[in-house]
Amino acid sequence: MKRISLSVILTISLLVVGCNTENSGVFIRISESVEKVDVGAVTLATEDAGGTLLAHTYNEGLQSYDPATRQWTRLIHPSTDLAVIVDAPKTINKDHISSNGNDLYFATTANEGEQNLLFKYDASSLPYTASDYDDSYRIIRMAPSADLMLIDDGGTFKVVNTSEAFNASDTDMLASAFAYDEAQLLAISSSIFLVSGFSYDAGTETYTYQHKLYDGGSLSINTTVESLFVAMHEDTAGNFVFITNDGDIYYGSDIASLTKGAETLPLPDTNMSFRTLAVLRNGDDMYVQGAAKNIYKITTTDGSFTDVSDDFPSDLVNVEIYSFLTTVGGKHYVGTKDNGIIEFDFP
Amino acid sequence: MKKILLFVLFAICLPGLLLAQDTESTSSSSQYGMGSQMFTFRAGPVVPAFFFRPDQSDTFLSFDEMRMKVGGYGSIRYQGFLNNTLALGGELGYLFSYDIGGDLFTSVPFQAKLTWIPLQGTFELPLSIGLGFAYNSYNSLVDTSFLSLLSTFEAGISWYFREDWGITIGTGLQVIPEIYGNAHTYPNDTTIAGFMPITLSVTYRSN
Repeated sequence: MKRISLSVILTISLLVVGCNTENSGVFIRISESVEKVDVGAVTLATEDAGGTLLAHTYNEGLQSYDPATRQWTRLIHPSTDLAVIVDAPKTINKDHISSNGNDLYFATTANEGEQNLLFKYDASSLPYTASDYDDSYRIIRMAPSADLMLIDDGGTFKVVNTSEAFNASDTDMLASAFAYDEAQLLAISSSIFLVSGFSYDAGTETYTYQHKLYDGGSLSINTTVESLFVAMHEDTAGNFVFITNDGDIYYGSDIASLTKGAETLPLPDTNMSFRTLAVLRNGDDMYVQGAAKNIYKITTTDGSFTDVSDDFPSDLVNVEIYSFLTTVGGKHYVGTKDNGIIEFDFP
Repeated sequence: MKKILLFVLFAICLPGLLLAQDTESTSSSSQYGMGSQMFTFRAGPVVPAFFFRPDQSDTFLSFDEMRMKVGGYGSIRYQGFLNNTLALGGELGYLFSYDIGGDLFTSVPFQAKLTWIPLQGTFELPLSIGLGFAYNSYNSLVDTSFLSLLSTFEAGISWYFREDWGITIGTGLQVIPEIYGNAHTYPNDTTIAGFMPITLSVTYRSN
């Protein structure tokens, strides 16, 4: 009798421990799995005049991708194309590319306290020479699909247009003396963006956050939000949505007094402290990928969200979305962590 | 896919056909009796055979549509004989297979196994059915695992190169149901999966 009871308890325990109660079916996911593409995480930047996509990939740096042939081509070979760089690193990071819709700009990483080297991608200029780059800026972040970069100008943090800066005619769009230790640059476009970050006081072991929005002018978001923002959106009625790296959703049209949404968005399983969340924008509609690769639609008027994974192509809910791009021609693409670039249509 | 299923069916039926032709000669020279035992180690590739998804538009997916690669299966089995043809015991195994994206699916089946050996001697034809559970995991997502029921059907051909040691080539079907009720977030994701291990076994028997 004891053995039977023990077996029943063991079986029930295993069933409780082993139940997949929240995620979609394992075999369904397997049957919708997507083939890996060996380029690493893809950060989409822009589309060139020939319909080729330009992107940063984790494994190969700057690459072009032809959606018709699915061919990847490496744009910059550091050892040859960047041979002009002697003492500084030649690495190009995903948050050091930007585009004004026509041209692609990129910066190489810099040693501590030194300026970054800013280049404009031009195949005819390769290999680069000393007159082909700008070394005037200490670049913190660049917005991949916007003409923006966040720079540290001797303790003052500024956002400027990359294309103007490259031509030595930059105008400060946003400037702050706040001493960011970590900052994100989130851009809806080249004229609507957010700088969200914090400074850390090692003496008191305290973090102080500052979030500055630019929407034709500099605006401050509730300073009481003590988390980094990782995604933002604005609809045509002027309603903003901001998502923190804790999954909290703030919404409203009055930037100085945003309202916190009732529910917390289940964020992706990867550490959100070091990344932003790609926003899939379709007019007023805002979608983000959350936990278990599910896709959520965020309602801009009340900060609520709905799981709409089943409305999207199965490919999209079986990959990790890293970036999003809508081309001038209206095609929608996502750059993924492991599966290259996928074109899709909104539901 | 139909060819594979026909092959499995044929493999299952073959010993029965042989037995029907030669019942007297096999049953008269019984190798085993009450108390006889068998230890078996099995290993070999596993072919994902099908997904049956009753609530999806594509109800049946065969091997080339499942987006799974050929994997592997290994197990250990112990059985004791109830009489001169039926053996009852248990099997603990490990099955793995990657999806086309390179994410790993694993299953740890543990089952009670009933084996009927109608033809015995130097060459044997074991037929088995199994019932039990399988603990399944998929590493594409965090915390995605489930415990399921399990049923297996197997057939093989054994050759005992020594009195107590033999090898078996076998195949069959492992059926793993993933069943969700209406209360689950994704009730339409119910799927019955079939896997076809093709194994080489080494058996030690003691009479």
